[in-house]
Amino acid sequence: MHGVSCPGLLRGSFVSRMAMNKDLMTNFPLSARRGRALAPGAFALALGVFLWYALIWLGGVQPFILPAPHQVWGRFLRALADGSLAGHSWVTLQEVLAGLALGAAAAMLFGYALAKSTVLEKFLAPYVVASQAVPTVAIAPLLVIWFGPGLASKVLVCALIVFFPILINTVVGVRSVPEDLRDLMRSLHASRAQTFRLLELPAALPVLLGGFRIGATLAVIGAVVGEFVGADRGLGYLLSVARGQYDVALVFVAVFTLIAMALSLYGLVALAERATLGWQRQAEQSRMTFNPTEKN
Amino acid sequence: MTGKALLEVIRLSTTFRNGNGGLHVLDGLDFSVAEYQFVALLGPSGSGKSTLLRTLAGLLPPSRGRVVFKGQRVDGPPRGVGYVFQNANLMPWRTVEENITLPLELAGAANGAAAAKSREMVELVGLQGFEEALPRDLSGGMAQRVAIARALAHDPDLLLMDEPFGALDAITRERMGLELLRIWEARRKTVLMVTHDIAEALMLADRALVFSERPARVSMELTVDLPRPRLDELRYTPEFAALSRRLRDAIR
Amino acid sequence: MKRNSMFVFLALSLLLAGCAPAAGGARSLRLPMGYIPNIQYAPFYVAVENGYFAEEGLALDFDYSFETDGVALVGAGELPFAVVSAEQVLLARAQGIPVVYVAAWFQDFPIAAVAAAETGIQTPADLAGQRIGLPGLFGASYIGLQALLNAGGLSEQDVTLEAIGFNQVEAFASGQQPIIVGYINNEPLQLRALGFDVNVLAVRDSLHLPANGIITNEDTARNNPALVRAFVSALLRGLDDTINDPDAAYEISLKYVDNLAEADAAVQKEVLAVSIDLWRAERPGFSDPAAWENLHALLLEMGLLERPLSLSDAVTNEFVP
Repeated sequence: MHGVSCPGLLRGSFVSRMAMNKDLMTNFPLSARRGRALAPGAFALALGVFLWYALIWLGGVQPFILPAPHQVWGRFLRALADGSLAGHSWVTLQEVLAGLALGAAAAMLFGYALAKSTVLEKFLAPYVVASQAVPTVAIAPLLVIWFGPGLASKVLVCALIVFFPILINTVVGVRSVPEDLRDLMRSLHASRAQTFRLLELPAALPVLLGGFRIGATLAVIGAVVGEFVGADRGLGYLLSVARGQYDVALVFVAVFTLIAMALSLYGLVALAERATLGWQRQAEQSRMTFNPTEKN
Repeated sequence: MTGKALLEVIRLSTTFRNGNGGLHVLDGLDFSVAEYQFVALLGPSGSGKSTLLRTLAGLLPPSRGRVVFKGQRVDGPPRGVGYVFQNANLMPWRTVEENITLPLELAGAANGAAAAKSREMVELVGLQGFEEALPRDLSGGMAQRVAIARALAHDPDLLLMDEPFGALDAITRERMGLELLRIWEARRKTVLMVTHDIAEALMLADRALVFSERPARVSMELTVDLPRPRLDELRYTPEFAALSRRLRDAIR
Repeated sequence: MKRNSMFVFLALSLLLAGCAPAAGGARSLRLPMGYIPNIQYAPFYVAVENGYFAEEGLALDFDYSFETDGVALVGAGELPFAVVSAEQVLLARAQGIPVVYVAAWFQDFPIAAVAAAETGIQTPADLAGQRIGLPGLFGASYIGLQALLNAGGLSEQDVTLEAIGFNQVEAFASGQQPIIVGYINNEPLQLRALGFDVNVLAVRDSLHLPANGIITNEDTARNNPALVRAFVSALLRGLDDTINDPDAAYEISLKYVDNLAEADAAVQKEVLAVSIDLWRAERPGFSDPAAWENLHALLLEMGLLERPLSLSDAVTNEFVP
């Protein structure tokens, strides 16, 4: 990172986001400790369900405040059987994927330009910081007004919410490309395209995929925020309808489906990391820093 | 001086801009390197040896003077130069073979040709069996061999080496020196190598240039007229000791 | 914000579970209002300001959270009262939430379709084939629109519904939605203030439906009727004062509604005037059983209720003076 104050700032908030996601990240170790990690996971799940029941029995909580796990499960099976859950999930998933693709493409494009040009960075940094400060909940209604109540407005909310982390990680990633390797490419007469494809992309990939991990989960939130504002399909809509009808079990079904969707996307990014970042020994390295200096 | 000059450095000066009037690094350097010569560059740390190498490679424009390579003024990286960096500077995501063939890939060589060249280079630097290894699994010495193989892969006329063994331990360093000697004798390239190690310079070079403190000038030039092939025993001869003393005094 | 309300409400219920009514002095009551501070709540502000609740030993604490959260809190017995729309009572009871509607505040359903005058739409039947923007396919606006469509001999298939969130005014003003669904005492007034010429197709002109009022839970209705009577009585006095002197009610509301003084006084007074029109009744607080029958039938037809409910359990006039 160069001595400009803004990127430091950007990075700071990014780091805090990363910290928020830290627990989630450690649940997806890239090394092959999978099998053994399953047992504690199952135990944690069982404990969660037990505490859930305990809360209901000991606290005397009525089902319309907090339904019991088996009621949620039963509601899940019904929503699955009548096809509504799959239909709404598919709508939300489309919004998430399209939003992620759009937001990531824009973020990588801008991020690359920003990383390559200090002038551009100084010029755009205030806008970039502002884009992060805007509460998505506040502008989602505007997007619905501007782009209509259909798919487009939700995709844009998702795109906006994933833009910042991926942008920052693109900048950090491209800036982390070692100068010596750049010199090597120059001395070998590499073209711009070759430098990008053979050096910058692979070198920035670990940090970039870190941004995607965060972006994938944020995109799910974005879709729901967009659907809350105005929609007639999607899990966020299902959530609103369920709340409106006091069907709290269905609220939980929708929430859990959203969690499952976010975790699956997160897992997919983790898989992509395993597939492309085998050259890094530890997942730990891939998260925050890229250390090109091999041991000598 | 034997043969015609492959590389000429003419009144070369470099000043880096900084807060107070600029950092004067190179001060009117003048020397030339003949074809197939092995030239060692010695001098105190911070005397601008790396700056000179980067300038010769066309990565850094000089403030004044010029560099002429193969009769052409250097203006940007010239073709036909291989560069070996201080650390191996390998791409950690590419295998040994892929790192070696990078120059060929960039030049658009056919896969078959690249594979053949890679096999040849792997053999030359003695890394058979490690073609598919990733840099993280290599020792420092092995990584530097890969770097040398990469620098030689596109058959450059001039090899610029910036303290290639500086980060290695003493034993590995000596072994790599001999290795380089063997490679150089097999390939007969023109080499310009920056080093801190007097013994290394004497073992390898035909000529040694000693730089002064910054701003650097050539404070001494020494012809290393030790017989070749040079074997390890050479280190213990009086001739070697005498040259070694002269270089040491010049650096001080 | 909306997505958080579920958690806020859960947290709140846990918190409130530990709070007992203050012994001695006025009993402190948190009252979920279902909407943001607004001139429409003038009767409540007037009743508090004129000491009617205090005379009954009650101190109100207005809680502007979501309507559904208020229903759940009252149903769970955490709070005795909430201000909610009539259909919420039936929807909640269908899920086993034991709430009872004890006093009508609005006499008529305040929902209307609002069409740009140039569309030429004058009656519900004219909506055929039109694109209509409403907050979502749930809540009072959706139910009100269904009533309008029925009145025009139409069904949902005859129109195109677009869920636009609570952005009806903006969507209309930007020309994206020439027909929207909103509250009689809100969107049409705002649009006219912006200079638009609009036709208002009020649900009340087609079908008599119950609307916003006070709910309690079965436990309170059974075991503490005096409390319910006291609450209803205090509110109805405030309502009466508001109807008789809207200007005074407006002045009082300035203290309770942040930023009301900055808003266009003429529009706000108009909101109050139109609202008062919806509040006037021969017997304030009284629920018309026929209106409830209409609502019940409508919700069954829409599939929002799966089976018929006992209306006598859901609504009572026994606490209305």
